[in-house]
Amino acid sequence: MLEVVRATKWLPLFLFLGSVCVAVSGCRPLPQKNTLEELAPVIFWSIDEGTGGKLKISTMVPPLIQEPKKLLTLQVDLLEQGTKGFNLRYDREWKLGQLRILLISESLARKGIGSIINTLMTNPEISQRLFLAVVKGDFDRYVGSQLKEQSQLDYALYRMFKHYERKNQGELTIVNLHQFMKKVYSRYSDPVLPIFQADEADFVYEGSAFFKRDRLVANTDKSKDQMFQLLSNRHVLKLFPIPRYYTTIGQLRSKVRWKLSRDHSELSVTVALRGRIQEYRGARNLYKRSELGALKKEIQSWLEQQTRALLESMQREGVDPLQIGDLTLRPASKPIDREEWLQEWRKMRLNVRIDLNIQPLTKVSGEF
Amino acid sequence: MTPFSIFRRTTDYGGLYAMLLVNRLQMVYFALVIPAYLVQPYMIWAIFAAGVLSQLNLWLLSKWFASRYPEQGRGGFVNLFGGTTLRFLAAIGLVALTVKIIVITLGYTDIIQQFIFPTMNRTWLILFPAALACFIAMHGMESLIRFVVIAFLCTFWILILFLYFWFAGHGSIRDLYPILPPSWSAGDWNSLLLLFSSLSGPEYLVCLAPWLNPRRHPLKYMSIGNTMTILEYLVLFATAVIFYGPRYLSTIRFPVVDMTRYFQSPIFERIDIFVVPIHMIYFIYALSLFLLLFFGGVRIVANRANRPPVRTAFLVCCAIVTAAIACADEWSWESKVRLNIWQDLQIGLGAAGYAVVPLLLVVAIRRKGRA
Amino acid sequence: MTIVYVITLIDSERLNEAVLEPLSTIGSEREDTNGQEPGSWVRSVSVTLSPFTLQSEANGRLMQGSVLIYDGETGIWRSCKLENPLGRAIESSETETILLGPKDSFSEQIDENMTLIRRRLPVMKLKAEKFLVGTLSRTTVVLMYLEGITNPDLVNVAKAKLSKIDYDMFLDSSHVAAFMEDHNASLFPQFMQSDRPDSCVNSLNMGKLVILVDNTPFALIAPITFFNLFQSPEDYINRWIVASSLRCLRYFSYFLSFTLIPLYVALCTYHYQMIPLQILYVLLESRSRLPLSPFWEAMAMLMTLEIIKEASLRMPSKTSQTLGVIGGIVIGQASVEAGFASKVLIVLAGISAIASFLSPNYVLSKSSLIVHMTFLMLASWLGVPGMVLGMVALLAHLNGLTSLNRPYLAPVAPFLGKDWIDLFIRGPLKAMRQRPSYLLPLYKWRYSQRRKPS
Repeated sequence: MLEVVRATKWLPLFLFLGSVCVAVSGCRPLPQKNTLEELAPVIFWSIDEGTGGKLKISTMVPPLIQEPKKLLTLQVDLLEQGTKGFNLRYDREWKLGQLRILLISESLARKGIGSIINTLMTNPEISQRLFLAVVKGDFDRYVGSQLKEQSQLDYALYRMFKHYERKNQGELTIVNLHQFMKKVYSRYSDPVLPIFQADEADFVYEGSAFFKRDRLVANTDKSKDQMFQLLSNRHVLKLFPIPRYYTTIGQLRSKVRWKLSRDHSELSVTVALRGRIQEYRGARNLYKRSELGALKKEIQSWLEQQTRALLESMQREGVDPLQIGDLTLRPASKPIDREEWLQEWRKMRLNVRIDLNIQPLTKVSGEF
Repeated sequence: MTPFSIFRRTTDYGGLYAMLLVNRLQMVYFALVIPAYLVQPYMIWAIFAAGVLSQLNLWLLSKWFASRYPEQGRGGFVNLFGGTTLRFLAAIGLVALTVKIIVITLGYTDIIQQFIFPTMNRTWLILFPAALACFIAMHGMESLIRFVVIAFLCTFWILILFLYFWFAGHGSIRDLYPILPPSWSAGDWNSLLLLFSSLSGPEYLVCLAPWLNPRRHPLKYMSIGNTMTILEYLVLFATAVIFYGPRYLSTIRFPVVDMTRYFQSPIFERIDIFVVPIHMIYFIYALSLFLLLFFGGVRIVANRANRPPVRTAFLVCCAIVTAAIACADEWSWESKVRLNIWQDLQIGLGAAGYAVVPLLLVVAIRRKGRA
Repeated sequence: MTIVYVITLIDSERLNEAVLEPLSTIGSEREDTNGQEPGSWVRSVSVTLSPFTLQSEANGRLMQGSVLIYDGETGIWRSCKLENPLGRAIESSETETILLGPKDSFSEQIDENMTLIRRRLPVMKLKAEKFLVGTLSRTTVVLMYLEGITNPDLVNVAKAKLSKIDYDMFLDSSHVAAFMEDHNASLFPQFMQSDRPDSCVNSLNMGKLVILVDNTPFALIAPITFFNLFQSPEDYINRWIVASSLRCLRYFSYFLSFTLIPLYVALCTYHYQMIPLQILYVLLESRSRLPLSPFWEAMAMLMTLEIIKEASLRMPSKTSQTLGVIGGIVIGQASVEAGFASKVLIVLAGISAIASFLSPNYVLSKSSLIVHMTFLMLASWLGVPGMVLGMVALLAHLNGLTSLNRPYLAPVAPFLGKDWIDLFIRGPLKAMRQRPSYLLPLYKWRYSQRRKPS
């Protein structure tokens, strides 16, 4: 044992001295350092169509809180060219390692964003949790007008996405890079992204945008989006205002059961909803059981209609953001083609049922 | 000059070490890329099949461990094969070992380069692990065998992280359909070979026999090790399928490492930068073990096994291996879409070695017993 | 009659009482008792006298505090041991302080120390073997162990090493340890020093050896493992769940003490993408005005910290408090305001400094500076992968160490599952029914085999 010891006893010392020499002399085998103070981590990128088939990329600088911020915009042919271009224009080096949000303009999304997403996806520096969103209108103008009022706009946006990303928050569709890519490559289903409307004063959530592979084809309006939230993975809505019936349903949770017939000709969907009436401004007397029942029935049939309309619009566009196609998979049979599935999906009969269970916040009695 | 005794033996190490060695040697490198080649969910059965084949080999190996030869060390082999044949076999083994060292080192170098240091000079990336492995190997075979416990404890918990994906709502059971193969193609056979090859490694325990003494229940411990490996493969593969889905999975080069990019902890947002180097712990462990075996093999081939080992000779051996890795990297390590020539070579050699070594030993024992 | 002694080495009062007075009484009675046989005075002195003949023996005894008496009538030299009992009383330990539990500690007198141990282990099995080391210091070293429990191989190795020692001066037990350790060039102590009799007795009971050295209050305990360095005597006094969590905290804080600042350097130099966005803003803000790179900033703060630590050790205790205030608050605060260091780093430096105080072993916490610096360099050089490489090298080094030929990382490597009950956790005493198996004790059960506890 002692001999082994002698063989190795000086090695730690040599290693130590060696690393001292190398560290002090500055002879580092690493050419690339990311020294924090020399970097400008990009928090968000907004990509728009430029003139002549170019891309228009903009972002905010500087990353510091206490310095006044400004918006930088570049027109480039390639996405990474933008990084380089910004580098040449700014004293710090742009780094994509902290890229959190990617905003894509609607017109670009309609042409297909596969190449852009692929570029980001293959860059190991960029987190797979990068949030994606589609923006209608001019986002740059919104940023330009907000710079003075809200200096930490980029961070605030990120916090918003982060907040709604968590489970059981409901309200917004939030999709990150990985989820988007998984859907793009999936056998039948298609990706979804949130879509926002931007103008000089506001940045408003519009609904969910449906993609066919990497191309934007349709989007929901605000009210249909609520139904989409309940049908898709989130299954929760904090508030569901239904102005038509002067009602707001709160803390709405859904349980969805899909059933596809053997020959793929009919799809039954049963949605069990559970919530409470948070607000009612209509003429009915909700203390009465019969009146409450009537309201429930009205809302129920309206919801059924909404759901059916939503699903039919998906059928029309030939997209499947709800992963209905996966229902055709069986443990031991060969999966059908995507094309075949789309054919079937377009022609499929729909059978929608809503089981609404809403509680008023007051006590209800038989008669009043 | 004090004698240099890396091959000194003072105590026996029991079955537990055989178990951990089997497990860690099977997890080296290929385990990290394999989901990208299996892709289809029904390949889960291929993992089981490869596991059963591997179990068969371990059964043969345990026959040998139960015999009287292993405790005699090199003498046992000389008894079985005769000196000249042993030198010939050792020479073949050296070639296989070198290929294995080259493939795992360069494989990990690829991973480090892709995920952490994209612009770093590859030679440095080869040099650091090699130097560290040499340092560890200098402590001698005994402490190296003990070190497997630490290598195991430092790395096995990574698997638990992946279970996160099962509960995070990233997929459903339908992602694993079709679980039964609707058809079986030639590519699937290749994947099976790849799996079997990546399960190779335990055959090197033969060389550790004088220290490792699972005499009482050799099969039991090695089987546990093998089962642990199969479970790890299954978890990694099933997680990858659920996380990516088959079509997306086939486009990814290092799926296991790529999945770790998705992890997020409250303190550090990207724990892949921890996890990737931590994978390196058992890689470096395996490398140092292989360096010692390489040295031992060279001594047998050069007919110097009876003399005490010389430190300079060992360092020269390490330098030769490192140079070989660097040369292979410089001239013939191209990242192709699938596997490159070295990896193909390693798949063949690894599978062949794992299949042949236990068989050869058992046959030799039988022949000797009859004679 | 001739009496020879060195006045500074002997107890002159006892010399008067036990030798001179009886002798003078004999002298005055001599006239009456004529015809007594020569040498009969020996019976009248109240100390035991041992005869000797050699000159060299005379020198040795004289220098060890004996009084030499020459009887001219019979021509025989005799000596009696009357050494000066100069020494301090038994006080409470200052190096290993605990709140509850026995308060006594060893002193410089080896006999007293042995008494403290023997009182706690009143069994015949407790053996003590005496060695004399040091050609000039002639230091007594006592090797204690429990016969029938301690593995004889350990005893033999220790005996062989003790008897091989060839050096002139031994002033502290660490000097003896330096000649007995297997790995001299390691940062990590392979012998534990302790001045607490209770922890020595506990170690003896586990099957370890205790080596007492004369003129130092610190006994050596061996063989030890790396994990023993994190075990405090108080662990066995606290409730076991509390003790276990505190022990885990100690391991964690030791790990933290040398990785925290390197991690900061690694993140600021290479892996900016790991930092959460909120913290990144803070870091960017504070780092963007600093003149030094993260590595040099950390290095400077670390050196300052070590200087303060070292200075406060060398100062009288009242001054060192002031020093702590000046060092901690003034320098820390001022360097941030002057723009030499970032606030984040100051916080981290504070945490890692406090974390380094948590390990109960002083030698270990002193050595962590070098480990810390090495990690710092690796971090600035290779980032997190560099730190992992360093960690592997550190573990490999620890794994290669031995203490009296027993592996240093036992019971982790080699893996001994039964010993894990007193490793990262401190199991309930009732459950600790066996002695640690890495020590290969001859008798492993800690409870009586005849009466099974019901």
